[in-house]
Amino acid sequence: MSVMVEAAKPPSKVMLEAKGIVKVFGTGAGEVKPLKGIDLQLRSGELTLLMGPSGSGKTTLLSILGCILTPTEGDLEVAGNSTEGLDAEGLADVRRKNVGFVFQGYNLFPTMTASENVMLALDVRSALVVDAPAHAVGALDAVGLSHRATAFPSKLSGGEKQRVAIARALAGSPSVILADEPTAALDAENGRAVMALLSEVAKDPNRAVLAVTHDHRTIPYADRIIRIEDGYIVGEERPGETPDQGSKTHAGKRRRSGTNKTKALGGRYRIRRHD
Amino acid sequence: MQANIDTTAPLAGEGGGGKPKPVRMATKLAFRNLFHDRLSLTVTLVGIVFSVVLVAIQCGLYIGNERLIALMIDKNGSEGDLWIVPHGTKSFDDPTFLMGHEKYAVLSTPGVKDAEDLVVSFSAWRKPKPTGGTTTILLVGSDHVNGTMKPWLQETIVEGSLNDLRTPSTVAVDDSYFSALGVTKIGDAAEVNNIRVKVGAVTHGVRSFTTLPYVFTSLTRARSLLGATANQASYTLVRLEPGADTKKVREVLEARLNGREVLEQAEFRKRSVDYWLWETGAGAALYAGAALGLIVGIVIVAQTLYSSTKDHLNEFATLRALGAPASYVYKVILIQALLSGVIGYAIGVIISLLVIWAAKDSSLAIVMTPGFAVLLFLLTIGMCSVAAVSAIFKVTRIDPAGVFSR
Repeated sequence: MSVMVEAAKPPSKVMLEAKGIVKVFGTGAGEVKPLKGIDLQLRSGELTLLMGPSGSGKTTLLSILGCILTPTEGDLEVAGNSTEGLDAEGLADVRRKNVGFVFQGYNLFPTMTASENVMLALDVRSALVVDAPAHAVGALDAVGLSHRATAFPSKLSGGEKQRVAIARALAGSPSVILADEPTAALDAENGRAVMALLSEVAKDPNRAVLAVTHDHRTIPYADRIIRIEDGYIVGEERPGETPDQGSKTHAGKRRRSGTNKTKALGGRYRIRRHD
Repeated sequence: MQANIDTTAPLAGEGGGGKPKPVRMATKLAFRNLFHDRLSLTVTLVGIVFSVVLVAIQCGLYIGNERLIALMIDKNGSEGDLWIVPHGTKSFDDPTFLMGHEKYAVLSTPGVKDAEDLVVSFSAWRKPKPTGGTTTILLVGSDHVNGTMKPWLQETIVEGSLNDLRTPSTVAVDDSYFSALGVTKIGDAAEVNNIRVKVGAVTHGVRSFTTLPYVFTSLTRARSLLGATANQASYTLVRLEPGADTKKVREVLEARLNGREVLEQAEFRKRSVDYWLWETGAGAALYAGAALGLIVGIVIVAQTLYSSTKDHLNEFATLRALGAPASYVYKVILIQALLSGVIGYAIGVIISLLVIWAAKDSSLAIVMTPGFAVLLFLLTIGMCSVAAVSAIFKVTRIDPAGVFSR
């Protein structure tokens, strides 16, 4: 049932929790410690930005949160699943079931069409669907690209590629979406469109979205911003909750608008709603 | 009520009915990876086709030669028969004479149903004029009226008939040896061991491994042409009563026929094949050629598959980052290898069959049996699987963290 009024925001859940994360590469004189003790929670219904200068540990933290790297110290839980003691295949299992990725370079499979890229993710996640092609087209429809379902990545623009990547990340409905510099390779207009899309994705009460970014243009879309420097979290803010700023941010605006068309996307995306 | 993008609920274009099932994309990904780089695929297929054709021809030659070597044994005897052969006989085509009267000794042995003499000997064939000259032949004398070789000879005769061999001094020759024998048709005359003979029947497709032409005649005439006594033979074929104990009959015959060997059908066959293919080294050469084909195939497929895997390394890393287990990535590479194998095998077998067809009237005996075709397919698949190992080894070292910007 489509609605035009704002719904009450349900209580958020902790979708990912990191405690005391330390990461050390190398030994002795060659030892590097990009993360020196990170505590972090990602809550459902939120788009969190992780910002910081180069070398601050953003990518290492993203890799650990995505269960690609293991921390030297500390605990990580993804959607209630502890990753302690898991080997490479165990970690792959956790991220397969719970984590969707959006990469800076899109990382689409060049020999597969847009819908096949989504179907490939469904296969990797061992998803069970009635009609896989229709499901993939549906996922592309959710990001406004159903009309490009049969196009190969080489025929898509940068913005379209990133939207396909978002559709792929959503395939199988993971609890956590991790985006690595999602707007870095895009122009301003496409960057805004992708961020608007991610902020819509983050509205799901069963999903948290974290985007690592350098791009200050992404700030208006954030529910929460975490700043990292030299391996420590040095600050956190919630732009949408600042009384005198909330109405000025996209996050604040979209909470109030409740429209089923995303203005930032030029009204092209039909956002699915359910009661 | 929430507004969000939902990829789990039924979506546009997706019917509500039907049973949910897994999505299978590994084969499609492997197929696309394979056909994405046509040049690389071509090189891979050339390697596999080369390998398949080489193995098919070399092993086909082995099978063909084995059949040629055992031709006379297979056409005369059958499973369960015994052969009385001169002591130390190396093969059917290496004949000497038995002492004589073996047939009667055999027939008086309990458990024996029947016995048949065969006379086989190298002879000098003097070609008729104007060709002239002498060539060595293998003269085969058998009971062409009641003998076991009769049905087969009847099948192979393309001119004249077996009955024509009843005419005195008549022989049957194969048309593939016309040139070697200096004859062209029925009625042409020549000399065997300085005795005049006439071509009375012509066979087709009866070739010998040694390239010495077989010349068929009656048992009596063969003895006469070779100066053998009336009861002398090169081999005596023994057929047993149904239910007779082959081992026991053999022991009795061995005791009665001192200085002669008693061999079972399969034993005589194996001895002949082993002599020509292994003691002469011909078989080893054929197998070495086949092995070389396999090695070349493995190297080429491994090289191109490794190169293709390197080209797609970022995609495999992405798969790993998305959560694909290592086995999924191995599966994609293996499917690529197997697809290459299936396509290469199909092309290779078609080319091999064309070569076999082209060689059917030549001196090359190349045979492709259904069983060998299946074995060759499994060999090709095995070869491609082995070739995939280097590529798989490469992807085991993929760091999925490499997909992130640094």
